Amino acid sequence: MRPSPRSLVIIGALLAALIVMAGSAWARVYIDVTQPFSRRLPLAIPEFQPLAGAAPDAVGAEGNEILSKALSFTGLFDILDPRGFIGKPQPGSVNYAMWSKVGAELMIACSYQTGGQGLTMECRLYDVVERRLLTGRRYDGVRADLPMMMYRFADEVMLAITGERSVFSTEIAFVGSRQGEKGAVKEIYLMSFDGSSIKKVTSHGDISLYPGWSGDGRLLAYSSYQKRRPAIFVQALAGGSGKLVINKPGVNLTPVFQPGSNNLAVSMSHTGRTNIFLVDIAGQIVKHLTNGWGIDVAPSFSPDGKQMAYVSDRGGSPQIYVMDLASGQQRRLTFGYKYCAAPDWSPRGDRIAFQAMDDGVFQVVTIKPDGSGAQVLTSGYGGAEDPTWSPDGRLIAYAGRQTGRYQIYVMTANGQPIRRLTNLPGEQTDPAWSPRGVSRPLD
Amino acid sequence: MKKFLVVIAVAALVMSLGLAAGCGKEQVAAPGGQLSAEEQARLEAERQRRLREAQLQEQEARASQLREVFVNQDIHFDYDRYDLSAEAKQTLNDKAEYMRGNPALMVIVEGHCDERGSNAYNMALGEKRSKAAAAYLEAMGIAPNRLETVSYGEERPLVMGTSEEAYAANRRGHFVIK
Repeated sequence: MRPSPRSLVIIGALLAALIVMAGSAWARVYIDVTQPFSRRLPLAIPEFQPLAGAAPDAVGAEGNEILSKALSFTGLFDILDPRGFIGKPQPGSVNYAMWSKVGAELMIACSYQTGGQGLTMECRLYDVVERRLLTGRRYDGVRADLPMMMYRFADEVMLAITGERSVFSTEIAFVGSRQGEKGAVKEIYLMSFDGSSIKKVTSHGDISLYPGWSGDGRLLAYSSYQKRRPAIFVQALAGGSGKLVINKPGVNLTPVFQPGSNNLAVSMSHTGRTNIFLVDIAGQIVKHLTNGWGIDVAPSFSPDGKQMAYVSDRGGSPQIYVMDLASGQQRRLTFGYKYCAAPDWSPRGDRIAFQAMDDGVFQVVTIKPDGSGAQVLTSGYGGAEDPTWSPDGRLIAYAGRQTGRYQIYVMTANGQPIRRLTNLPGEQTDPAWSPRGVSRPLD
Repeated sequence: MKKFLVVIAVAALVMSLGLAAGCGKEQVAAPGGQLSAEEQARLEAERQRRLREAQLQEQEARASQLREVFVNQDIHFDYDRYDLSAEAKQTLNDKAEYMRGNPALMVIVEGHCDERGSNAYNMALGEKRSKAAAAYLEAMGIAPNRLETVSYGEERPLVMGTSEEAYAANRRGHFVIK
């Protein structure tokens, strides 16, 4: 069939639209996290200035430090040394040529005003290369709101640059262990995304393990030996103590919440096999999910809740399997490693992180859900275990043993190290990253 | 002065020897015939009682020794395995025999792992180990209600350290009397 002149015009218009869309999309992609060696964006954050007529105040320097630390935590920016800057930013007019000269591609200018306890903060993000304002926000509050203001603006910066907010409203749950009289005592703890503000969640005085967040970030499920064998507890983070949900004979392990519900996938052995079951928050079994003859543990749902990755020894060694929940079909995901465990499905859905035995040590590996594109993200002495994705899918926290004892580290999704998050006595393992909006309300 | 002390010591020694000899003579003479039948019977009863006491003590010592063996002798597993080796089965035969001889005994079978591997998988693996040991004891005639299983995964190592020996010692089934 020959295209009519009219259809050609339509195709032409579509093509033009596509080119425009592609152009604008290209212009907005600052960093592609799927590229393993994407460079960091040079960002200038000059000294915060008092608003016109306002007096200088220490909140300027404090705010600058909080914002710089938060943005450098993402691993996306190279924050330029302010000693190289020429002059101060003038509110309302940006000297792009000058910022370009010091190597900046992005610049953040913030101004403030204080009065008694009151604090006003105005921040703007500029694209120095394209010479335009990307985003701006004004916050009115009290001095104590300064960190919240800075974290909110950091999220705005990430939204403008990546199309998504970051981790500044998140916490990480983990297992902290110290030596007791009868062996290690393990409790569940919480900390801010950057390792600050550590809080103890459980006080069972025995062994508590495997923290897992509910989708709304209000509940934390875990296993504890309070009943002399691993049983599942759920703790409301608003307060109170953990409530016993399920305590079947045998083991009750690795609870994770099903996306969009308060049901939990739990590994249980009361049938004689260690299989994964779906149970409701009252502990009633909703569905028997896996059917391995031996050990099935450590479920992790895909973000749409339609699939579940887990560990099974049905092939003779522990490997990662993926189950389609509607059809019940199960397939092996990992090959080529002797021992794979602790799968965590990225919130973006595009990769699954897990720990794989490599040369006698575990390392963190990510793989596409179809089993292709495996990338080993960590290396070296001590190894890395129990990966957990940040809710934006850009960062991975894990338990590493570089110092000889387990501590929590964070890296980008393509394996660029960011830093160690914990430096507590004893050992810290099994991190679980919260959804967004846990440490403070979102905008 | 020194000589004087030596003389006293020697005298004391001679005296004590003499006393001991005197006692011995009296005992040797005792069964000879000067003792009445009543006295002989009493002595015999005393001898029997002492014998029984000694036997009981020996039995008790042996029982506590067996109990010690029961609680201290672990069975061991290969890496990432929960099947029972011939050696483990032999040990379990002894455990079963001991439990048959002590019918009131209630036992917790603990399953443990070495620290390698994932914590969650090891928790499940430890349970398989405790279950395998309990199932064998049941097959040997021990009532299931006398056995309880619990897994500690890699949470309660017997030996600290990262040597093969430490790992092997930690991959164990351990038996606790309730």
